[in-house]
Amino acid sequence: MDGRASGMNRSLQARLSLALTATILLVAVGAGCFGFISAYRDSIRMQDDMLRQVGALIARMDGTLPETGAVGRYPGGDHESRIAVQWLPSADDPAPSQGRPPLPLPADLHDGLQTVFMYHENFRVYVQALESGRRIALSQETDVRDHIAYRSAWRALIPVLILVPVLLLALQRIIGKLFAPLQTLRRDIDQRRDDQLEPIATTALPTEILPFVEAINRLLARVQGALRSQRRFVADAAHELRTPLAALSLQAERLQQSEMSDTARERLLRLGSGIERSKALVAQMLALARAQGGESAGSAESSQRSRFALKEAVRPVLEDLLPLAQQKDIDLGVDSPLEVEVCSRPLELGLLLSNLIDNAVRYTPPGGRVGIAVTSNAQAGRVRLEITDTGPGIPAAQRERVFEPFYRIDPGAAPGSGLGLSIVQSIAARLDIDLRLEHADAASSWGLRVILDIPAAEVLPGG
Amino acid sequence: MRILLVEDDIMIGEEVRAALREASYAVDWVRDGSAALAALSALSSASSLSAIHQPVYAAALLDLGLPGRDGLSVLRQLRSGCDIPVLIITARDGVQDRIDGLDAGADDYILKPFALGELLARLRAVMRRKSGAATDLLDNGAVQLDLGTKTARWQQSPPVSLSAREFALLQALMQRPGAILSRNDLEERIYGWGEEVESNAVEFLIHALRKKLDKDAIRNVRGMGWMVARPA
Repeated sequence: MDGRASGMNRSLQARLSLALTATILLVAVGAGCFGFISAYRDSIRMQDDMLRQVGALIARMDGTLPETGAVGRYPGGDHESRIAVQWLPSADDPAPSQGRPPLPLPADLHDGLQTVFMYHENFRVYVQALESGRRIALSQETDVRDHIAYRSAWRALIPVLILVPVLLLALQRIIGKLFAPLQTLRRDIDQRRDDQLEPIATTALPTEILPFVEAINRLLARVQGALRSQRRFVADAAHELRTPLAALSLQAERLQQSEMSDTARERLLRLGSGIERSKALVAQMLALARAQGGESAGSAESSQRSRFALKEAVRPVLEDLLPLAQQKDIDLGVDSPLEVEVCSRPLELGLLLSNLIDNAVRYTPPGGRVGIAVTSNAQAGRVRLEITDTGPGIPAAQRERVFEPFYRIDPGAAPGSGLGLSIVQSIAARLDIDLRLEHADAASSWGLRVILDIPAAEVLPGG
Repeated sequence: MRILLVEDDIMIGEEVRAALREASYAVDWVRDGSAALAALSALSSASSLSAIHQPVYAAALLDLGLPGRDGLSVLRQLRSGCDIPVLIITARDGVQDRIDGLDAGADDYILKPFALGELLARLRAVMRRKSGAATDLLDNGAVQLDLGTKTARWQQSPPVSLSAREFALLQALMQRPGAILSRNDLEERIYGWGEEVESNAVEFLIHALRKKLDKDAIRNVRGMGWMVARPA
């Protein structure tokens, strides 16, 4: 993946949830504003109506004020929201009422509603003319009115404020759920090994993705076909090489029995070792092709793992390699009991061990030691097998590359095809064996220790 | 003795024929399956006329990778009529290939590329097995164990006689030269059911055998057990 940020921008899920969230927020803000403003206006209008109605009421009572000049109080009413009722002074009656009027309203107010600024405050004033020609004024502080209006406007906002987060949360959940099959799909594909090319399961996939997955499956099938034919080609080529090699080696062998000069005999010996190398290479190529599943993938008996004692896999390998070890005066042996049981496939595990122990014997100088041991520090469900030699080891920087086919650190060091560790790695992957290389003697960076964590045979109850 | 060689590759065929002739066999070489079946049926019908029902060929060497008719079907048809020892030569060494070959009636198989010495040894082995002549001498090239007299000898030195347990132990090892036998394996061979197993008995016997024969006669494999060398 190139950059999380750009990946985020291209994510359908992120974009969808972003767009929906933005839309919802926009709508919510719009609805909130509209609700707020209209509730505010309604409240103001209602209060204006109230002033008007009170004025009309007083007019109908023909100017009999309940408490002339005093403040009208309703029982239980809010002190702050009081309405002051007073006579307005007029030209012919400059002091219409007894006592002090609550507010020094000017005489030039027109009939109807208006806002008057007094005492650093705004007042909403309704002037009502009576039949008698006198005028009364009803006034109320705008602050109080505004306060009430704001309160009711805010109250109108509450459902929006509560419901929008709920809606957003629900939206995220729904989107997450809808995209879950995609995530599972991604995980499924991510966790595959290189050679797991079987089609992706298409059940429970949304119809929008189905065509893509089917296209990918078709591609996988083509890749698998190509891979299979390539591996078959390698296997076939190796097979086909066997017959001419057999002919060549037979001729060289028979040539040895004929009369020849010492130089010719010496050259024939070198020819023979060249043929041996070719034979080994062909055998290793076949083993690799087989380990990669090009050949025996179809045979049922090889796909089943069974439980067996590790010793049974090690013994034939040692029997094969002891002559070579004795020839090089290498002390090849087992350093701990191998009675533990593993769950694996004996033939393939044997081939893996054979390649590793063969390498150990080949690269260990004469007089050295190669040891095979089971150690106890493996994780649960695993058997740890270590193969340790006193050869030069593999430098840390090379430990990845040595598994590449035909890669050899020092082609002159020992005869070999460069395929052994590729075979080992392929088999290890198929048998679910963890493989690690390190120096046998870390202090002096010398020797090689191969650490294998092999699936153990599960402990059966009573067994 | 007469050998039928069925091999399509000219170079291999020529070399094998020459080698067989040098080993004093008479060789009929055919290059495809039909010719092989023809040769077998012609000669067997000819021989059936004679009073002696002696198979003409002592053994057949059959390459499985034949042109036209594949070697396995030739082998099956050949098997339906006669039971001469058949050693198959094959380039296919998958487990299934080997099973198919042996199931079709081969007595043994040899994998290309092979050494002439191995081919001749295997050929001798299948002929010996077919003739039922079980040898009573086990020989790995260094040690010879005479099953009749219960004596053993190291290379050219004179035979020495063995105790019953020494003999049982050496026989177990000599039956499969090159195979590693653990202490358990050996104890099972030298003790009967219910017999008390003495500790160190195996080491003691091996020490005695090495003394009688040679210290290299039996090799110790650290952590695994003991073996005698495979024939070179």
